This record gives sequence, C-alpha cells and structure tokens, in this order.
Amino acid sequence: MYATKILQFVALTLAVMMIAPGITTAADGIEAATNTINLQIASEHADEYSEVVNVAEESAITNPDTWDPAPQGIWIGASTQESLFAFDTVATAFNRFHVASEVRFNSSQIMNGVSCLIIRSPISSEGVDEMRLRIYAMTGEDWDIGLLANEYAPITGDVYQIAGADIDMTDTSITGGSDSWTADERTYTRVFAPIYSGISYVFAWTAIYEQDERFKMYLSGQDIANDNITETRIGQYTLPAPDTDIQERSLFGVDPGISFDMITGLGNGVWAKSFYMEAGDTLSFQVSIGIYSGSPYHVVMIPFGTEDGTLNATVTVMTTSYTPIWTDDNTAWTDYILACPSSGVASHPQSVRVNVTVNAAERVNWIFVDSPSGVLLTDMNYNRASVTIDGVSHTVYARPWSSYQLSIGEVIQPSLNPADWPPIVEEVVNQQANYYGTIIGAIAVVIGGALIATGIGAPIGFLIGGAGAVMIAADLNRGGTLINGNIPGWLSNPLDAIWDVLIDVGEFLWSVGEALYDAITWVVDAINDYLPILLGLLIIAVALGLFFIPIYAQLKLWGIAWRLAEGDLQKAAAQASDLAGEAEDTLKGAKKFKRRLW
Amino acid sequence: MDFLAIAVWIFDFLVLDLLPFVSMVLLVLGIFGVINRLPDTITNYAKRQGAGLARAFKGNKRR
Repeated sequence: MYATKILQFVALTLAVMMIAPGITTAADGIEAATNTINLQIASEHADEYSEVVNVAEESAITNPDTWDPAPQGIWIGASTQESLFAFDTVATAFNRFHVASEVRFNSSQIMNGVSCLIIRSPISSEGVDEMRLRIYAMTGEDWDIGLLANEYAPITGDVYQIAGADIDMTDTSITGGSDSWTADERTYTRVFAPIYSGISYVFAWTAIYEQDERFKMYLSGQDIANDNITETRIGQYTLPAPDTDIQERSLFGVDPGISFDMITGLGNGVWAKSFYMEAGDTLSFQVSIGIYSGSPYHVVMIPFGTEDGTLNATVTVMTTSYTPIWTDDNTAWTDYILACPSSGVASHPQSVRVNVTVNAAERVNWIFVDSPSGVLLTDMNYNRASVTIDGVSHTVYARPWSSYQLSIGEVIQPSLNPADWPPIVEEVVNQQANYYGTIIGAIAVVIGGALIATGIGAPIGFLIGGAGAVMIAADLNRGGTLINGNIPGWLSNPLDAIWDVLIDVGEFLWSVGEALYDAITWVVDAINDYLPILLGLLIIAVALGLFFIPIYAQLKLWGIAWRLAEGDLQKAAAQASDLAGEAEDTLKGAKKFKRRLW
Repeated sequence: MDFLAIAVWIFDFLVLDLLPFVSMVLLVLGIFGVINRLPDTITNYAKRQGAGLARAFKGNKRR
C-alpha cells in the first residue's frame, strides 16, 4: 500500500517536472516557491547493492593500467590506450627502425624536474633483436633523425645528448639485471638523468629487427605531456637487394605511444640517490684535475648518507685506462669520504677516475649535482657516474657531489687516534752564529798537534785534534764568523770621542761578561753535541787496542813456542823477556800518561 | 746511523768477529810451526845424547 502511494507520488512529481519548465517560462518574473521533499527509503531496499562495479568493457582499460609494473611515481602519457601500428616494411637482414619524438614537460607535472624516471618505448618488442634509447636536450627549434644506417638513435640539429641506454632485450626482470626490461611486448628503461620542466627533449629509439619481421610501433591519439607538440619522426632503413638500400623518413602528426613514470624529484639540481650496495659494489666517476708540477697530495672528498653516518669503503684513483695511481681506505668514513694518498703524486694525468668500493653491505645515499644551464651536461665524461651493483653497471647522468683537490701535505679526517694525526713540522732551535767553536776548535787542533808530537800522547792528540776539527766544521756550517764588529767613530769631536770611547769601553766590558756567559752556555751545549763523537772516537781507539795487542801478544807467544820447539831455550827466554819488557813499557807509558794527565 | 753507532759497530767487528778469527789462524799456524820443528829438535837431542854417551865410553877407555 505504501509502495502504491510512493509510486503515485513519483508519477505526480515527474509530471510536475515535465510541465514546470513551461510554467516557469510562461510565468517568467513570477517568484518561484521552492519545495524540498525528503524521501525515506526503508532499510531493506538500501542494501540491495553491496558493491560498486566497473561497467566498462575490457577495451576501455586506460593506458596506465597496461604498465608493468604499475606506475610508482607521477605517470605521464596518453590516458587512452595506444594503437599498435604496423608498417608495410619487412625487415631485411640489415635493418634500422628509428622513432623519435619531442616532449616538453611542464612544472604542473614534474615541478622543476626529475632525476630518475622509467620510460616505456613506443616500439613493440615483438621481433626486435636490439634496441637503443638516446635522450637529447634541445637548444633550439630544429632537429631530425641523422643517418638512418646508424644504430645509435642519432639526432642532428640543435640538440646535445644527455643520457642513453643500450637495452638488453632478453632482460625481463624489473628489479634485477640491467635498468631495462621487456614485458607484454613493451620495453621499459629506468634512466638516472636530470630532466627539467620547461626544456624540450627528444626521446629517440633505434630498433634492429629480426629478419622478415615487420616494423611495429604504438601511436597515441593524445598529446603526450600536453606540450602542444604532436609529431613523430620515423626512419626506416632496409637493404632488400645487394647495393640497394631503402631509406624512408616519415613525419606523423601524432605522438608516439611513449609514457613516463617519474620516480624521483630533482631538488634544485642537487639530489641524493639511494643504492643498496653489497661489499664489492662501486661508485665510479671521472674528474679533471688539470696540469700541475711537483708532487702534491691528491685529496678527494665525497659526501654520503648512511643509516649510522659511517661507511666502510676503499677509494682507488686510477688513470682513465684503469691503472691505479693511489688508494686509501677507512673502515668508518664519517659523513664524507676524505681520501688522500700517503705520499705525493708526481705523475700528472689530466683526468683521473675515482672508484669507491664499498667493503660492507650498506644502503648508501650518494649526492648528485646538475645544472639546468646545460654547461655541465655538455661533457659526457665528467657529468656521469657509474654505480656498479652485483656486477651490473647503472649509469647516473650527473656529477657525484665531490671535490678533487691538490694539497701540499697529507689531508686526513678529524680523528682522536694519534696514528691519524698529520705529521707536525719538527721544531728547530735557531742557533746563534758565533765563533766560539772556531776558537776552541783551533785551540784543540793545536793541543792535539802538540800531543801527537810527543809520540806517546799521539792517540789522545788525534782525539783532541779531531774533535777540534769537528767543532770548526760545525761552526762554519752554522754560519759562524771569526771577525764581527765595527770600528768606532773616533773622529767626530774630542768630547764625543771620549764619551763614545767610555761607552765603548763599558759596552766592551759588558760584552766580555756576555761573551763569558755565552761561552759557558756554548761549552755545555758543545759537550752535549760532541760527547757522543768523542765517546765514539774513544771506543774506536779502545777497539783498535783490544784487537792489535792480543794479536801482538799471540805472535810473541807462538815465537816463544817455536823457539822452544827448536830447543833454543836462550832465544825463547829472550823473546819472553822482550814481551815482558814491552808489557812493562806499556805499563810505564800508562803511568806516565796518568802522571801527565793529573 | 750516528757516529756513536758506527764506533760501536767497529768495536764489535774488530773485537768480537775479527780477533777470534785471526787468533784461530794464528793457532793453526803456531801448532803447524811447532810440529814442523819438533822432529829436528828431537833428532838433535838424541844425537847429542848419543855423542855424550860415546864420549863417556871413550873417556873410560883412556883412563
């Protein structure tokens, strides 16, 4: 009964709604009264539909749904599904298929840019043997595909290359292997390169097909990236007969089926990229250090980020032909690597390759630097880094944030370990140049000479004379001079002269006292300096004595033995007496020396 | 190496190395010399003793 009433009410309402426009038009200007009617629907009817279903057919799946894996970042591409377009051309044994398209992202899509993105190729992977991707930044309006026989996606005109990838078509793994993979006949490439909004880029692919396959690519009916640029340049190259090549260039007024997954932002040209690195994985890049002379120390500083702020890594600097120049390592670099060789580097290659090998598994954030100006981008050698993980190289098309400098001394990270402290220059006392060494040395030489003349005192004379010669030589080395002073001005006037003389006398007396003091100080210093030398000379003299005296005595003893063996007792007695006499002489000499000495 | 170390090295070399070596050489030469001389000496001694004995016997006859 209620249902009947409700149906009646609905029918009435519909009738009113059909008539109402006519009434309102007719009664234009008359104030309309608004009635609000709330329908109370019983709960048993409210639960009839428990879920929402997508009523669209399979053909209506949107383009991002065809991605494998599903996009992780900001997805850019045609929203409707792309159409597969097969060309008439059949691939000969030698063939090239080029597809290139200009794209300019806007800041609504990627803010100021991205540093890591995945690009899906518009070329269907079916029948493709090799594929290459090249990304060019544009500096002007004009560009075109270069030589069609070239397999490296050549683009000519106002462009310079910023990144590229040689795609391994057998790689189907998304996470493992190289940065490219193929799934469902679509080829994806992860590129670590700075892409800016507001700058036009040409994405160019070259595919080499297996023989007898047809060139196939996806086309989009929409403007990719909404940049108001919808054109696709196609280049086909085949060799159907000997000496006959077919080259065909086409310009399509639609965009190719490219789509992008923008993974990582760009910061302001400086960004960090995180890599999980196992022991043995490396970061490698090239730097220019220019020409220098001498043997300066090389210093490389590379900031990084890890969970605990430290990194166990070895730095090896090599020539561009991979010959090691120097190496440095640390089990715990803190916040930044500051590597320096233990000695200066004399050879000077203009460019070197820095290789950082991680020695323990760690997630490492390396910091990369780029500039939208394009200046840094022009030199591909210096504006790229290679991160090798598990033997697979991943190229980052930007300069790792680092500083390679030359230093006059060894540079080390701040450390509390005394072994890490830099060598400190030894303190050298500036010794005053004087002539005491010369005077005392000369006296010592004279005394030594006199002792040598006595004969018996010759060894001591040699010692003293030698020591004197050493003193003179040392004094000359220090720059000592024998004559030092000026002639006072006698002739100014008598009083002044007397006054000056008195002052000079006073100064002379003062200087005598000073000289005595200096002399005593010097003698103490000299004893310190020369005592080891004198001791050494004494040791040599004693050694000579201890060597020759026993030999002499042995010769004499054997002389006695021989005389005895000859039965000549008299001669033996004479030899013995001779030996005894010489021993006595030595003792007497020693006594005499002792008497002279004391 | 400073001068004192050189002096000590010279001492070690002369006294501890060269002296024993030279002494051994002298010992060999000395013993050789003694052995060389002994036979003549013993022969001379025997001859002398023999001559003495002969003289003694002659003297007895003279008496």
